[in-house]
Amino acid sequence: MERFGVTFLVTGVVTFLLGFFLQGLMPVLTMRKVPIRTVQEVAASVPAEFYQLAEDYPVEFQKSFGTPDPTSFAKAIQQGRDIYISEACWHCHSQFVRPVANENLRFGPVSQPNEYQNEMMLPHLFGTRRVGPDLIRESGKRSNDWQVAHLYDPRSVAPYSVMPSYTWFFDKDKRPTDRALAVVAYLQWLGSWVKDGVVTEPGLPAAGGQG
Amino acid sequence: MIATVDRRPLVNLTLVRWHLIASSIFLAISLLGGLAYAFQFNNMYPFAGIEWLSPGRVRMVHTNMAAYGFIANAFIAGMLFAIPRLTKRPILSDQLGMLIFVAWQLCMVLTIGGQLLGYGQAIEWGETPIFVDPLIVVGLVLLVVNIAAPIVTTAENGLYVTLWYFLAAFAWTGLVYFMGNYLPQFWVPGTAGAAITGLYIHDLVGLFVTPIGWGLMYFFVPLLLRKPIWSHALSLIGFWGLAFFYPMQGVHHFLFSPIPMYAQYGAVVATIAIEIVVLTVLVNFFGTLHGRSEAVRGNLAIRWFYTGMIMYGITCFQCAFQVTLTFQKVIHFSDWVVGHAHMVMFGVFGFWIFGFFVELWPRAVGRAWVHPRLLTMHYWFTVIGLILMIIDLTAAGLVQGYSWGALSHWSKSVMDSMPFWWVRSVAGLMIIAGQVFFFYALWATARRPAEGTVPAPIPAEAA
Amino acid sequence: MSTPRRFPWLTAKNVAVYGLAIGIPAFGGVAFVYKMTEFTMTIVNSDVAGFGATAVATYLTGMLPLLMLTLWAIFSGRFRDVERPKYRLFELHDEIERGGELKTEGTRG
Repeated sequence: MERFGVTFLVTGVVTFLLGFFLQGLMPVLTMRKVPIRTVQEVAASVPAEFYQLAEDYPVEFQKSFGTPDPTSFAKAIQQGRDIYISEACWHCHSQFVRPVANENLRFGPVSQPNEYQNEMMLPHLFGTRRVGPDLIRESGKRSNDWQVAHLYDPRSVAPYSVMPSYTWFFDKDKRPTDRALAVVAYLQWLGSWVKDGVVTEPGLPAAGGQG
Repeated sequence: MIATVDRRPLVNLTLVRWHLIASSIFLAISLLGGLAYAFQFNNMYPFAGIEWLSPGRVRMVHTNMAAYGFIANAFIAGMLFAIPRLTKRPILSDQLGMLIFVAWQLCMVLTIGGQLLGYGQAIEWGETPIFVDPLIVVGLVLLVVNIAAPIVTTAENGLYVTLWYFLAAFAWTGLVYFMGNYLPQFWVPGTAGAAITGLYIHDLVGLFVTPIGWGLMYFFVPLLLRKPIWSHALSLIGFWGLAFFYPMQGVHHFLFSPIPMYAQYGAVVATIAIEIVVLTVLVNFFGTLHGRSEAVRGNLAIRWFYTGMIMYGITCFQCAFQVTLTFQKVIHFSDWVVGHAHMVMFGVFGFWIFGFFVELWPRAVGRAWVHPRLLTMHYWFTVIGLILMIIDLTAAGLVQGYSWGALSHWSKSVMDSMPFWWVRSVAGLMIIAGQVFFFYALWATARRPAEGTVPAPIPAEAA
Repeated sequence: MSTPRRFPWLTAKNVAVYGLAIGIPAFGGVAFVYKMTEFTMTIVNSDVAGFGATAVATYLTGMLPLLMLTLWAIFSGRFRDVERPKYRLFELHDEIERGGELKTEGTRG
């Protein structure tokens, strides 16, 4: 029994490592030549929507992030990403565009591996379910106002939506707090690096929806 | 060497009982969470506007409590019962067992609290907050030390297949948990991290839940049928097949993603290869049932076990198809996958656990079942509810997938899903109604005045 | 009594059971072999050379050790009495159940 047991333990661990090598490490090795960019490097190019956000909500923005620049942008998208995770947004919104099922026509250019090689994708937020649409090409598709209203009451701008209201992102005067602004900044960042070829939502909205 | 006579009971039934109680409590929490989340899709979420009961956070509680609260606790109970009886050795230490029990439930409570307060982790099936992860790894290691000790020290010659499965699960679980919860969180970003997460999603089911589940089946089914397993050799082939093919299929959760295509193809091939393995296991169990099929009618535990096995067959058959790129185009991201997950986690392992409850609970509390009819009601409500849910979600998945592929407006896929989501809520209510019978039967049995006799052991003849 | 049939085993049930038991794995096997061949061909003969290499490698790394372990087990006599543990399960069970309150005098050394 003892010798058989040892044989087993070795093979069990070895098969695990083999699987880990083929399915886990090989993709890591494939990506090794693409440097992992830091949040600061990623945030160096601030999208226009972030400057717009500072103009849309000047008081709140000033209080939360100060002036719109790469430093405040880095802070905003990190906070937005953390809220995105803690509210488990990624359970209902994916973050990659597949090369099939007309997804390039619906969302925009197909996702490339190097887009995800940065610290903002640690952990990655690919997601496995789409109740709502994919978000990796969200930047610039909708205005900041739309995003803020949608967070407060999704059905006010997309009547068919089943998304929850995130009223706790807002103060008692229904003004956005730093949380709402951070999430909007994060959403406007997603895909800001590939503005070319991004398409608006196809098809006619059903029953008066405009989302 | 001085042999000391050990007068501890072979099986620590107190520990078994506590783990079963914990398992049923977390089952209730998970089901209520799932129901609340389902109501969100009918726009009637009961806790709307409450930050810490936001649907997204409740969903994490739903899945994590199903996996680590309900299934893990019940499996620990089953192993605490089966391992000593297969090795004639008690577990290493009863005190350690109690410590692990308390620590595990503490982890679960911290997980629920952490997730509701917004500290969930963005790893699918590993949403346990980062500060709970080390505790869980330590707990797993202690658990393995405690219950693998009898297997390692046993004087028995020739391991029964159940112990093979358990040893496998022990070797893998800690590794899997560490890999999935730490690598993508701290070191490996983006697509490579996604490949590892995919491995984790699959290994949790394949290398933790599946081996322990099948191990317990190989223990309980022959004893209850009073008939040895059809072929022990075949069962070992099934075991080694699982050991070699299961660890290689992780990336099939992210097909058509930016993960390198070769990894995706590898995963697809390994997934289809394991269907052969699944077939050998099923053949073995139905070969065992052959000639004793009346037990499915007479013995509720056997009925749960074989219902679960049929579900397992369907799941794996479905899996062989849905893993192909052709199917993935349509069904990925849709409710089809949600239906598949419910069929595996609840329809297979959940059903087996109900079978274990039917068999173990009277032993654990020292009383016979009070209302066997309630258990029958529990069976029918749960099975019909779940089948309804699976058919409904699978159909919804096809509707959604084709709607997206046809480039209709997003709202169309949501509107068209509405009726399916209503049926899903009704099916969920039905499952919960079944569990109400179950919980009442558990409670009433435990409360029953003791008769002073040990309840009937595992029936010699399947009645 | 009906006249004895030439092939008494040729019943509808047997045809169905054995037909499915042989037919489905055979169908699956042919499909699998075909796909594996297709993958293997891409390694040497394709504009995306090496495309199927991992798929084949995954399968082989799973299959070959399994095969070797089986051979090792057969030749080292592991399977000489491979069915023994399943009967032992019942001996243990009956012994423990006879012991009444699940108490046993296990010796630990």
